[in-house]
Amino acid sequence: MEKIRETIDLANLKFGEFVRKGDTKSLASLYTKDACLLPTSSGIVKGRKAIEEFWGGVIAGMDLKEIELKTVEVIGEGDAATEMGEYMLKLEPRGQKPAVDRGKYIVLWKKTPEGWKLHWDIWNTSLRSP
Amino acid sequence: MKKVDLEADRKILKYLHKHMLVDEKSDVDDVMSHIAEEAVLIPSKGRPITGAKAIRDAVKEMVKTNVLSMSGGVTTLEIASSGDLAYDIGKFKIVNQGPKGPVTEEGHFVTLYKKIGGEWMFMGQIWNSV
Repeated sequence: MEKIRETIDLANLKFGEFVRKGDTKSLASLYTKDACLLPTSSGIVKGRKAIEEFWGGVIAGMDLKEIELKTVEVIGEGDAATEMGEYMLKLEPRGQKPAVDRGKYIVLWKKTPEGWKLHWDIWNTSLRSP
Repeated sequence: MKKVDLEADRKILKYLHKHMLVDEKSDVDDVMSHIAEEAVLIPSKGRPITGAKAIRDAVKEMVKTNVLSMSGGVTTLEIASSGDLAYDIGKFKIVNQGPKGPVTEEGHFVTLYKKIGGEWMFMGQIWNSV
């Protein structure tokens, strides 16, 4: 279990680094080839190419500058594990005040020949609508 | 090597998912008997709900909800090779009777299950709105 936790912690640090650099190709490579994102306010996003485009849209379109992922709990062993965590993201849309969103997520991790990858990724905000 | 009857497990998990769709006909004790002690509910725009008492209180509130219609369902169900963890993703659309008329919520969910003492238990669910 500890090994999976360490792997997830490292991947989450990389996730933040790739967001800061706007490196969507590397960001997408953290996911399995047939991974699914289940974003708020959007349909299911499936596959690395679509995931790369999705995060590219968020980084460029919403000026996502930073994301922090904090693991709360990991369950599972073998070739699959589930991570529950909390996120914080900073947006700096042009012409608007910087905004911070905080929420929760669940990621299903899968062990692949390329290592542990995000397979399903879903989140929701903890902030109330204005 | 554990012997896993995947087909039987899939049938049970599909049944369990439907059984856990709480409405005014649901029995709170029966629903709770399928929820693991360490389960977590992660509603959209709310804090995670953990612990048997908090989850029971949440289920009691759900039973009081006047559900006008519920649709959607599981699109993908996966069982980990360990045979004791399972996950599903899907879409939902629920229409509740609110104080000012029908209120529609539509979104994605991810559900987690764990086999405890030979029985599949509901470990948690996260959902968001689209």
